[in-house]
Amino acid sequence: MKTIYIFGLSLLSISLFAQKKAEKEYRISVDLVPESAVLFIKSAYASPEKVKWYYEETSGKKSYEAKITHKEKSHSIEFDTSGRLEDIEMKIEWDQIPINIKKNIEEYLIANYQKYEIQRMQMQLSGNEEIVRKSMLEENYSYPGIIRYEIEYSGKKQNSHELWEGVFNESGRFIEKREVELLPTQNLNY
Amino acid sequence: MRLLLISILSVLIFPVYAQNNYGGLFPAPGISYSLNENWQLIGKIESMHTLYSIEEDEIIWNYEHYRTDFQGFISRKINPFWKAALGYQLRITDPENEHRALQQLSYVQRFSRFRLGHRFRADQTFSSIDAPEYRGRYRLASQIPIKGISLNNREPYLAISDEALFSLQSGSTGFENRLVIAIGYYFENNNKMEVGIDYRTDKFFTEDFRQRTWLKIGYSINL
Repeated sequence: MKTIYIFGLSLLSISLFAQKKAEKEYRISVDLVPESAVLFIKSAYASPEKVKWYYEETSGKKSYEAKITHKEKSHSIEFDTSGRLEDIEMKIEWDQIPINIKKNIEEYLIANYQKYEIQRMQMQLSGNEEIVRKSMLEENYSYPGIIRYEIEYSGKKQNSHELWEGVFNESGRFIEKREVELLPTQNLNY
Repeated sequence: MRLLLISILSVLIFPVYAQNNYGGLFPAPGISYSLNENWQLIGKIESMHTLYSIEEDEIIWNYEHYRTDFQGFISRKINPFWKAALGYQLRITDPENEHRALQQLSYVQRFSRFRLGHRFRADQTFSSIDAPEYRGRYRLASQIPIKGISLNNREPYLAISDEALFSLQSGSTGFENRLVIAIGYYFENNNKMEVGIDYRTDKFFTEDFRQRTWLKIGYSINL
């Protein structure tokens, strides 16, 4: 069954050089998910009631993703195809980011764009699986090196105004970015 | 899905009880070409062909070319979500062809499960036999994935839109509403197809209350 599902999924033709982000998600049954991923969710979230599983392709990279609501926050937990934890993403608001971290993120955006607007934010936990699990159970995200901030923003430069997904470290220092590819809007505009 | 079927059936059945109504086929192919990151050219043909009319509660089947519009736009991206466009339309119709200038601002709003398109448009229509007509329009359009949680290539979606049009001609005002319910599909190369019902109503609260129901078949190519 797993083979049929994977066979049925199509690849997007993405130019890696363009570093554009294009995401596809398919809902799948838990039976198709590697056991280690299912066990991680049970242990890190103390057996949550409702877990939705997805098979995801982001710019050609394949992964499994669990989506749950934990303490009224949306969490996305991503695993590689062998079931190893890649990261946990939690939606947050700009106001929830500590001031000194916000200041560093803003410094990067001001230095690199004439104008910018933050669209969405996520806090990302990654690194050692045991530390991430512990961090989730204790709700303590201060373990060194596990936090990153993923910020989606529109940034205007002299001749372009694009949508980006930037990754910032635990201090709010820029790590990397990629352009977010939107589906054409012709049918919505004409 | 049940709601969609009920909506389409209601639109198809309702015209039977009205006085001034007709409809038919409405092919609408479009093409867009990106000149660079910010500028885009858009061409579109909207061709309406009457297949039926209803007179005294009786359906009369009769083919007639109703009108064909050739539209051209040049669009400038303001930011990833807002675009401004200027356009011209030539309408082939009887008894005289019409010329129309169009100006629009459009905005796309993204949500986790769907997206909404807001379109603010003004147009001015000129012909040799009628006084100029000026219109202000607003359209709200949505694209909702039928499969999965996000809009993706090679997947179907539900397209619903409604547009309100306010017109002014020789001191008289008018109002028209256009509701479209369609099933769409994004192909791998970002081309799109939409098939659905385009239901137009105007001349409200008069004896001439008009309903036009079209089977709209749209295909958009992005170059």
